[in-house]
Amino acid sequence: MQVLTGHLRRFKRAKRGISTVIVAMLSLVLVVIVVGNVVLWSYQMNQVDTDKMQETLSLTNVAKTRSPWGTAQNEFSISAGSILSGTYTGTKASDGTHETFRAEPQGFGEFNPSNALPVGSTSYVSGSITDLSSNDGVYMNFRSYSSTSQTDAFIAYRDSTTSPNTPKERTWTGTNTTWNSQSELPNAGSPVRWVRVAYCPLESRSYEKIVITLSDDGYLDAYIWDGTTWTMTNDIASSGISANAYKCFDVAYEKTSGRALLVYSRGTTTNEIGYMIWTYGSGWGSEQLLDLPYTSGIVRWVSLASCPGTRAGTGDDNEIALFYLDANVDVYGYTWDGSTWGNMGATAVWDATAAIATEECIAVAYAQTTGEAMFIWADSVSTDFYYKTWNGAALSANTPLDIATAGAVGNWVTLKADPVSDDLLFTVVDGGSDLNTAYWDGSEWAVHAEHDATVDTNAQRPADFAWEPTGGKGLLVWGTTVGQITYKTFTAPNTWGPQQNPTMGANIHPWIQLRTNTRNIAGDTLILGAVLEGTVFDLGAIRWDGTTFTVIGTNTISADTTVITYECFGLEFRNFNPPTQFTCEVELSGTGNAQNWTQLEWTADLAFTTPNVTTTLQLYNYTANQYPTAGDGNMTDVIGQTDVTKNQTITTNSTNFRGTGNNWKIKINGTKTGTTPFDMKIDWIRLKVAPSDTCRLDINNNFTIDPVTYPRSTICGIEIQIRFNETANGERWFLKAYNWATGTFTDAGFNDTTGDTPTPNAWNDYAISVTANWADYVTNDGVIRIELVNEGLSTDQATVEIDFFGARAIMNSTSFDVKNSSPLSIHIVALWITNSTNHQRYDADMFLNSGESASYLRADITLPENGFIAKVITERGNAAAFSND
Amino acid sequence: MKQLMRRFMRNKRAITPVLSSLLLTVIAVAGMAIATSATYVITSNLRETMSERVLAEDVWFNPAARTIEVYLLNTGKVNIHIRSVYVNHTSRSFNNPFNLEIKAHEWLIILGGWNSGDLYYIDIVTSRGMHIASVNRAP
Repeated sequence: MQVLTGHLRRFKRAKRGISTVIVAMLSLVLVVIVVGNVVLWSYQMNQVDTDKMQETLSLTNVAKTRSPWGTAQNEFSISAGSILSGTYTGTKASDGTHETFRAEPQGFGEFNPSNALPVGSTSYVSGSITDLSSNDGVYMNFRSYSSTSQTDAFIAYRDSTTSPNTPKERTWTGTNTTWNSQSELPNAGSPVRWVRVAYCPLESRSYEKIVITLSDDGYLDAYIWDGTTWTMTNDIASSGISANAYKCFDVAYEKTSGRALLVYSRGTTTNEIGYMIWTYGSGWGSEQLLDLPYTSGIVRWVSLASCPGTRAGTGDDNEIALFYLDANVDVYGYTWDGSTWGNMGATAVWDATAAIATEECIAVAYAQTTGEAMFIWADSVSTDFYYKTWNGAALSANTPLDIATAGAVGNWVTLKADPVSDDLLFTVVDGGSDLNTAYWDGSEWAVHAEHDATVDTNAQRPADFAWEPTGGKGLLVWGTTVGQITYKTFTAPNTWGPQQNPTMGANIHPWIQLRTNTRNIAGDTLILGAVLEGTVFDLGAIRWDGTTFTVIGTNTISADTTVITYECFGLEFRNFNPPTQFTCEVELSGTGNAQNWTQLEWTADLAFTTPNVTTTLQLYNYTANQYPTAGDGNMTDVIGQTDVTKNQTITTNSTNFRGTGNNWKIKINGTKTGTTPFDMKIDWIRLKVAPSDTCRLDINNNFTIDPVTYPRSTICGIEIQIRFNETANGERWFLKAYNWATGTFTDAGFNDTTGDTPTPNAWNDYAISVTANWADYVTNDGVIRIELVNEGLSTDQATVEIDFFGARAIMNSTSFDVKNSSPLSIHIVALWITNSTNHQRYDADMFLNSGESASYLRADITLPENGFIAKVITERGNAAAFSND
Repeated sequence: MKQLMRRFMRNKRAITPVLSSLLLTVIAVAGMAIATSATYVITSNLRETMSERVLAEDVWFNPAARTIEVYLLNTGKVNIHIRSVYVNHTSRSFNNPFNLEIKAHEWLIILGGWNSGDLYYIDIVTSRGMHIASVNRAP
């Protein structure tokens, strides 16, 4: 104890160690404080960073605020279509429960013609088929034709009655289908050898006809019929007594001027050809000479053809083609333009080795629609033929046509033009007495199988061909067996009927001449023919009506021509009959629909260029297979120069007036007695049927937005959405809203007005946003009336299932949908809306508990219309973004 | 009682230990105060450096002004001062001085233009040496 007390006393008295301890302790305390301070602060900041890292915030959507969907509260109103099953409750939610509607045929189908076909000899004048679509005074015009009677014809010929010096003629009366009695023309002064005839192409002088004869004395005689008497010009020209062994002349009318051109051989080797023009009112002009620079033989065969005047862009109205063959078997051609001859640019003989100079192995004709001339001839090489074409600008080179079955060189050829197309048919009787034909389709030749290898003769032309007036078909007639005449029908391009051999006379038939009726009159003779019989020299007649070949008689024309050496007759149809009645007839056709027509109304609005035209309108009855003559499908009236609208409603068996392919046709016939043609002016043709083939669905309903929660003042637009499944392929569907101010459904202000063409038989969502004019569609009570309607494009009858149909308001505020996935509460302090032109920050103050999702509404934020990026910023310094690009 | 008071008044031996104790206490407290203050002063800069937190809320290549604008939010516990801005490692001028108090936010506007489609490495440096860096492609 004393020791211890002693140590304490020493300790109390010691003064050296105290300060050291104190300093050490103070230093230690200082270090502890410094380190503690730093550690604590660091811990605190690390805690901040840890909290920041633990924050997991996502911005799932940023959009204008929407009200809840307003759905149907009552059954849909049906303006068109029907409800098949379900109720409106099936449309309230997208849950598979649906209401089913069906589009139904609606209203009337209206159809206008798509084609107008002139009937008979009616001709098209102007206008187009589309002019018939409305009653607007824009017409389609057609020109009437003389429909008085069937077409007359005449024949001039050599006959021994009185004397073979006096040509004879007979007239064919088409209505009676008879050749009239023989008339005698003035004496030619010498026995007639060759005869050529022509009818005036002008309707005003349709009676006028010309006969040219070439006689034994080598002289040509001309006869003109002026409607009352024959005026003869005796010995009008001479071909000499050498060339007169051949048909060395021809006569043809200029189509437009009505002048006649006589071209003939002068029987000389210079100035070989002469020509004369006959002009109405002044008679024959003086002889004009044509010195042929490239040929030098006496011209033996002359052939003329009148241009149809259809060639575009050229002055071909009065063009006549001349083709000749001379004694040197040279062939060459010219064209006459109404005043001068042109050589078509050919400066050399076309062919110096034609087949034969003693027989007519050349021919010329015009294609009737292009107006292209075809010159064709036989060459000296067996089976070889050549042709040239002239289109008004250029003459083609010699082009070969090989007829391999020809037995020898061609002796006799004819070339006939289809009256309504560019088709030509070429016939040739060769030196081996073979009969062949070839068909020209406007661009190339096609050779047919040989028809006969032993025709009656090859010294004359015992064969000819003629087209029917309607074109496309024709008749080939030839002699091959004594006592028979042989024929075949032809349908272009290469169909020949079976060979028929009716009895005619008792001998061979060395000359056959066929002519096509120039007019297309119902029931008229289509083709007339004259046939010269050998041995007895009878000139008989034949007739073709399209079905029946008739041998009118073996000597109907002449009982004795006394010769077969020459083609001593000429036959022609009249171009126009004396006009006492004109008819204009047009058939108009179109296509309707396939619906079950319960009613049909057909309408025509038309007028004529003359008063009092008896008019018959007929709608074809396909069940009866004819145009009705009374009752349904038939209307008659007397119509003049003022438009008259004719219509008829048919309520019984309307579908009888619809044919295969839903076609229909209307025929309008206007007929008037008189001497002046007239035009039919058709303004409007319409077929109106019920029902149409357009199926429509048009439904609407009211959709309400709670006006208390979502007052109009806070609305900036509306949205409409439908989820539906429809069956019509290609159908388009439209949503429209009812404009309460105008009382109509419209899509004005919709973001899409093109409608929706959904995938058929699949569920489709179609949504519309309306941000303009929306106020017109929402009542103060928050009612929006929406219409769903189809366009009627599809021919299918659509069935529509609606799973959801609703409307809602787009509010004038922005909703930020955020989700806090972190274990910490989050404090959102800022919002960003950025786009290409602006970056805008908005202060925010929103706390979001852990795991919580919420929509943060901001009335002061207006989203850009186009794309934008939205961000939210937390207090801890995290950000979450949403893109609406 | 009077005697006791007299003895206490007359007794001179105890005054020195008391005074020394008191003096020692005062010195110790003063030392601690000085040490604490010194510690705070010594660690202040470190704490401030550690306390800097800045968020670049948005980077906008302003097409009208042809500036690069960075919106900064001070999420730290100290005020900050932006000392330098580097774009693609090149110093750029900006709306200097740029100071942000705690929880404050403001656009930092970097001058010098930009080109569409180019990539820009933007490095913002505070006065305490903190870098706020990001790579952005100009629209």
